[in-house]
Amino acid sequence: MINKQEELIDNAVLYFKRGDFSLGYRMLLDAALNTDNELIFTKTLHFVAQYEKHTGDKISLLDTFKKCAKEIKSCKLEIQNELGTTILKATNISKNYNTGRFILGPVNVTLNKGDIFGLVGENGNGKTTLLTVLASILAPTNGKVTYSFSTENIDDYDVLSKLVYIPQRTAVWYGKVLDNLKFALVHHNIKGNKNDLLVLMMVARFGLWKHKDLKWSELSSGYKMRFELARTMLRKPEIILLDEPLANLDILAQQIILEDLQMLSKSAVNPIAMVFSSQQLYEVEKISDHVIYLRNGKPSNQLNLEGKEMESLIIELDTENTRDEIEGVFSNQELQKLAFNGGVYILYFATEITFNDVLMAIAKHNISVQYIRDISKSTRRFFVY
Amino acid sequence: MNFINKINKYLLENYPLIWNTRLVWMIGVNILVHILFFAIGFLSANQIQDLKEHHNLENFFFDSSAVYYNVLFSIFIILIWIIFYIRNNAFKNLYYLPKFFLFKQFCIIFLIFFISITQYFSFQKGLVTKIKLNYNWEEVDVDIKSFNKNALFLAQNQSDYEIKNKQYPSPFPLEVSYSDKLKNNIQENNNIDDNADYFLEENVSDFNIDITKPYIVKNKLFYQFYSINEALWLKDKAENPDRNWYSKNDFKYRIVKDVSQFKDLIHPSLLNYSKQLFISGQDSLAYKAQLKNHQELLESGDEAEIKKALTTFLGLTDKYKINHNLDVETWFKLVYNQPSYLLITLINQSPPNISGNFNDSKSRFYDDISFSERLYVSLGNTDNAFKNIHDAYFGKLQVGFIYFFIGFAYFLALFFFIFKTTSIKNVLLSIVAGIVVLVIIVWLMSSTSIFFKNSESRSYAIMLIISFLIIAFSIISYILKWKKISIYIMWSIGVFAPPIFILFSCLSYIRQLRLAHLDLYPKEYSYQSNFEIWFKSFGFFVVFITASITVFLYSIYIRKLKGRPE
Repeated sequence: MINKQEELIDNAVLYFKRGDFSLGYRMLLDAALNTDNELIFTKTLHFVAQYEKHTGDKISLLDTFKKCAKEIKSCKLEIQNELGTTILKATNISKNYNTGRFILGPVNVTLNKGDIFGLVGENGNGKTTLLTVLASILAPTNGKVTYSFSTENIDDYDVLSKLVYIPQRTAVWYGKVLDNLKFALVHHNIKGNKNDLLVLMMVARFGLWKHKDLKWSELSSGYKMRFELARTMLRKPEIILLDEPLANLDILAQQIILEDLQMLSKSAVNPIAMVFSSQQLYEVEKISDHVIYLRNGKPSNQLNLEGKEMESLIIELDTENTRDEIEGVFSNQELQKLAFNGGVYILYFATEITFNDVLMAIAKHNISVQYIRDISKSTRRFFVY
Repeated sequence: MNFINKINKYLLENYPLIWNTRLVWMIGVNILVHILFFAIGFLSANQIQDLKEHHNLENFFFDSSAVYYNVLFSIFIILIWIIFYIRNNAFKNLYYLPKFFLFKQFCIIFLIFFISITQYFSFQKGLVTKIKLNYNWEEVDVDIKSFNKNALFLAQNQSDYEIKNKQYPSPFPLEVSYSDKLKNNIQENNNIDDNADYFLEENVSDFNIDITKPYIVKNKLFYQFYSINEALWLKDKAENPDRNWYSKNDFKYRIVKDVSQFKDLIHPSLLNYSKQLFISGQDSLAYKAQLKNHQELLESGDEAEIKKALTTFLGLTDKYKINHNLDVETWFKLVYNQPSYLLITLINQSPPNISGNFNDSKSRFYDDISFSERLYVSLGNTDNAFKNIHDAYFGKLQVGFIYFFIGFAYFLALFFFIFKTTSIKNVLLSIVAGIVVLVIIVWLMSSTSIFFKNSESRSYAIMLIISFLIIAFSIISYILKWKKISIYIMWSIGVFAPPIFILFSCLSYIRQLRLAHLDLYPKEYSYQSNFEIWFKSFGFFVVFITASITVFLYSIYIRKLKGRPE
């Protein structure tokens, strides 16, 4: 485990040296947070103040960065490897609403620490319902959700306090944002100076240093979500359930949040099981260990979609060429089906054709390509019907 | 500002509940406000005239603008507090909370409401402190005794000087009856006007004189003096409990006394005077001493002593700012009518030349004595001043006010606690549901007279049944896992029900004990059972403890309910 921490610090230094300052910086902060040491926090925050203040080329901070990294490395950790420990098990859960015909499930989910589950599907197909059932906010009509937290639960409220569900529309924070963060943290028995330091560490970790003195109403949606994540992380949850965390965020903010989610989930010290829903298919698939596609409340494995298209190569193509031209190009490549939804073409090939074969054919016939992606394994293929 | 921020930071990082409830600041602000009200109370009694203005110490607050300042300050402080208090909610955010966190929170907000609405007590404390600083009770007590000792020369109320008040020498005091007629038409040959209003006194009735016993005739009226044979009356009463109290005045129980030697004193006289001018803090010993002094002074007829008494009285009037235009000589001439000290002229109670001034103390017992055209002593409300000074020293704890403020603070605290632990939607729906319950109660009370003939029994029964049903449904809704919003509404109303149930249970029991006793002793309407006496002393605390236990249970179960999936 100590190696993992050292590896994290080494990577942070490496990234910083290479010019990936933001990534290196965040990794360094993660390493510092892993130590849970007030002295390390103080020293790291000293670096943070310099880093955030520095307006020129950040490479000039490399020495300070390395010094800080060394300090962090000197702090020895004794941690149990909890990655892969089962934390949530949902067995045959289903949810019926009295009004309307919608039925969710049955769904089976087993979440381990460090797992990221992506939840995709069109609107109204049960993503939020599944999340709220997993978060014990809604009781399932059938089936059971069980949690295996590292500490014993006093009551149902205690269970809810150990997992965090972030709804799509988060509540407004009143008062100073820092006070809100401290208030959250102090309830988890982090008091005094450590409370102050840890909150500032988390603010720095989520890139909120320059926004820490603003009011909630002065923050953009992206920063609000980051503050929400910072508060969530201060609570040291074992499970996080996020409903559309990427909604209303620009592409850069989405990217940063996804990276953060991935880094936090896979933390060597405090791995977290994470489930999040999103409409951003590619982004979800990029960071998720498992993706659950829901249609009419049913997960993809119950829709008989997998088997049908399991063997096919499915390509998503955006081009200015006509349908006839595309059919002409792939006439020799066993194009089984060509679908056009008005925006992009979906091409279905026989199994022996590879993605590279398709690319070669496109290059050979000089077909214009705006966008192309192999969606054979992506849930994107389920959105074509 | 920096200091405030530092304190806030410290509290936030160490004591989140105290920070969230702003307890420290509320205590601080309220200390300042209470000091302000202490000062207002302190400045409310600068001179003796201020003490005369109000009948009791409470009126200094409630009959002045202080009560409005109190309401305004309380509303202002509480509003500002609410804005800060509702900003952060650990419970709704599902932060980790120790098991009794919510109940502690309720206790703190109860304390905050209590200190934010009880400026009245600080006002009273300031007022009492000022009165104690200005007036020494021992000195005032001496002055009151001196007033009472010398007040027999005041000669303002004719009725105070009539023989019915006479207390000395033996055989006085006596009951007196008088009449214009005698039984069996044995009547003096005079021309009494039967319709004259002076025959309408309480003890005046036809044939009210036992002609077989000594009686006095004066000014066309017949007077008879007697004491009551208490032993005989009690014996008869024991044999026949239905006997009317008025029958005690029957001839049978009268022991008639021959007091013909005091015949002159049927005319109002100083020798009949026995009133205590000011009663604040005065006991029976003081009264006896006063009477003894009156007797000795009048019987001695010592002019110098009487003049000294008048001088003392006038000295006190100056001390206590009592307006008058008397001087010792004029006054002495007015009252020194030897040998029987008969009243010739009365002294006005206010300047006689003031338009609309009148005296309402004229007696019907004897012919009216005229008032002086010039002389007056305006005692005004000096008795208020003495009462207020006495209450400042010996006033009892104002338990009623304390109960009221505790009850009110409890209600407000509970209301906001419910809001803090549920939602505004629940609070609004609960208010509507509460109104519906009230309407049902009123409707039941007005339409169930068929089942309950006695309106008191009906009220108690309805309150007991309704509060029991609310408690029962609050429990059932939780066990049967109704929708959360329904349970929240039931609980929001239900949390008020147990204290009401206990209160009406006790009241019903008290009533039952009383009815059971009245069955055996129908005339003892004033009967109080031991339970009733106990309840009057401790009932409030029983109800309050019940209410507190209810909130405690609410705080435990609302947490469980919050954690329960919908």
